[in-house]
Amino acid sequence: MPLRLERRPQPSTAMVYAAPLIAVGATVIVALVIFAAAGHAPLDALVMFVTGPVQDRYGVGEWLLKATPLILIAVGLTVGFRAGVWNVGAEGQLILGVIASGWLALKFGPGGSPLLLPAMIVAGGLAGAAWAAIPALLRTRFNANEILVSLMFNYVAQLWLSWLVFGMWRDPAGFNFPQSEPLAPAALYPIILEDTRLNIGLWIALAAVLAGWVLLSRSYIGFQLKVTGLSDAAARYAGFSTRRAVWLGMLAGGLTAGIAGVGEIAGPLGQIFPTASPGYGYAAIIVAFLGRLHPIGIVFSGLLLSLLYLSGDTAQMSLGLPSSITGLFQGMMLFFLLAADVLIFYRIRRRPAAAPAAAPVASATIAEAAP
Amino acid sequence: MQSTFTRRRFLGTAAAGSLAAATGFRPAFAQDEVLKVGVIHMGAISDTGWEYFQAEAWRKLKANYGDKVEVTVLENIAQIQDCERLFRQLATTGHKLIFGTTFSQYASLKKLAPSLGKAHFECCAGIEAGPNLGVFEAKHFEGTYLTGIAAGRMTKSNVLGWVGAFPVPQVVYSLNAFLLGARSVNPEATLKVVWANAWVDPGKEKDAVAALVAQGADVISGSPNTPVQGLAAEEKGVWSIGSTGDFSAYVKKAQLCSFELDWSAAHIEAAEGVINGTWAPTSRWRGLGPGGFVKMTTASPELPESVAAEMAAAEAAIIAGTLHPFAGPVKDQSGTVRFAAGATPGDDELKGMNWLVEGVQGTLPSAG
Repeated sequence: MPLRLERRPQPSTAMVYAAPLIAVGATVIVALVIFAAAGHAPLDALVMFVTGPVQDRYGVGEWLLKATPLILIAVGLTVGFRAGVWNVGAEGQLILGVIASGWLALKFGPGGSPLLLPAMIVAGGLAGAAWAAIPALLRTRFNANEILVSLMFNYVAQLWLSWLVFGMWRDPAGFNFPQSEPLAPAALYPIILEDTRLNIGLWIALAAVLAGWVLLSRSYIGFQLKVTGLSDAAARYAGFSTRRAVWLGMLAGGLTAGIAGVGEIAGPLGQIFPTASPGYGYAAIIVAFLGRLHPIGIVFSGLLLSLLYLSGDTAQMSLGLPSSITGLFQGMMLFFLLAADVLIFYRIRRRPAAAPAAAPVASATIAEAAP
Repeated sequence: MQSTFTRRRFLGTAAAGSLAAATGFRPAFAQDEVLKVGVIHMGAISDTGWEYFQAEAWRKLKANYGDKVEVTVLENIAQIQDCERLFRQLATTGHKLIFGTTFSQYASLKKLAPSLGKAHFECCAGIEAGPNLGVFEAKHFEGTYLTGIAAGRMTKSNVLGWVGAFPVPQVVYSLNAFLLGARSVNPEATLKVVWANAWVDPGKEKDAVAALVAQGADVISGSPNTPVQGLAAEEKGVWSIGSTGDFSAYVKKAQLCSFELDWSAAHIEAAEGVINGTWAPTSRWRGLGPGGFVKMTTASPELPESVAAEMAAAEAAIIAGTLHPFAGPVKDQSGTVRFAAGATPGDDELKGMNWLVEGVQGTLPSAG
């Protein structure tokens, strides 16, 4: 039966918020099937999967620790996504944060100055923002596609970090293995929950959430960004600068990603390795959309995705499932969410018998419906 | 140094002491208990390479103990951030013996092991044993010395090739011993080195082999853990030698000989120690021989018997302790005598090796 997608005149606001829940629900259903197929009692396995990693204080600490960079980066990216600025270079911007703050930590760590940590955070944030400024400049000056440029810059950043860790930053006592010497205690984030690894990075992420919420929902700039995201032409007509939206969006993402990079080496890593991030910069994109491009929503989706990371490892340990389960569930959740989003903006219609050639489907994004 | 005496620690020790007093002294491990062993693989367990040999070790451990041992295996835990959590999780879920498979996990284990006394830890390729943490590593150079003999005999151009992974001491002493082995039978031999800067990177490995062959090398060995190097050598019509891996299943014709790593002794001895209550952190550094970590494997039918006999004789001498691959005189590339005639280097000199022996053509990628 020939079907086509027809744009809904008025997307349902309720469904915009329900979509992530639908996606999670659908993922759970598929998960149950997978558990059953692997020979486990599906419900028991699900309970184990979800609660296994967070059964004690240490587990909760690890959960929040994992959620911290995801939430932090996602909030920054949202500023751009709202305005239709697609920064997919958070991974590279995170790495630049690692490089800048790592340099400070290695050089001034042994001095033990209390100013070191604040300096690392500032340097990491600025370096991430500077890395994001390159695609922003190319976009505003030469109209180069910021998606491609920011993506490519991830690889460049990765090579920079490898070059440093394989070269001048290599620990002289590390038997030539590619890793820096352990960072001095003065360069590490203080722990905020005893007997866990949870550190002040959480407060930084929550501060970013608050700042993001004020900026996006309570300020004139936030309104301008939203209008720019909705329609370039309308924004120009209203006298809002598209360039400024690009700059603001890119820099905000770079800033938070850079600070997230500081949090990795000053937190759970405590050392600089050639790979500083397990793909947080990419996962944060999922977090941002799953959180409906809203800072509060991002807190929840960040918690969900980080739990999924931990659960994947626990599933290997206690359910004997392969480690790829995390990626599988992540992918499914995004898939269901995108499917739900399509149905929010479009409805499926049977194609009339003698239909004219389908008009190109206008792209619609969740940024339109975000409050 | 900071005092480690804290109230928590004191209470813990006091409680443990009174418990021991109440129950009488006995080994920590009851004989009828099942020993739960945890292993965290940094990479995926595939059919060849480093993690494969690690997996073979716990498989043999399981085969050895049957129902008395239960092994929990995690693979693909590539991020250091996750290691600490998972090692801890294993330790708090009843695993009494926990293995890390790579050097990269060593720092996490060193930090964790002292505070998780219920479990004992072992790290492959760790630097030194610490509180509650044992380490084990292979004397790769005993294997490469023997394969070097084969290479020295078989080369026609007197140029050997080595595909380097990373300039870590394990790789450096391996390639040095490879040339020393070759020169023990063929003083004209030289060794060209190309760095792939990867443990696994088929593209670079292939390029490296091509570069070596172009420079006249006709016997290739190296550090990356894949059959790619052998296949590339086969394509070029030169010999390949499997270092830390027998790739004869893939490289049908060109593999001259090979050696593998066998960690089963490390796993079984550690498990035995935990079961008997005698486990103590040790540093196991072993090469050839029974209970060793280096095992010579298949040789091509085209390897002349006289050469095979020469290798076997050297192997017996190494096991007997009458032959040391790095016995002096050994000179470095600049001609400086590093190990004087009659001297045998100490373990520490080998474990930190960061220079190339005379006759190696190439440099170590420098550290800034």
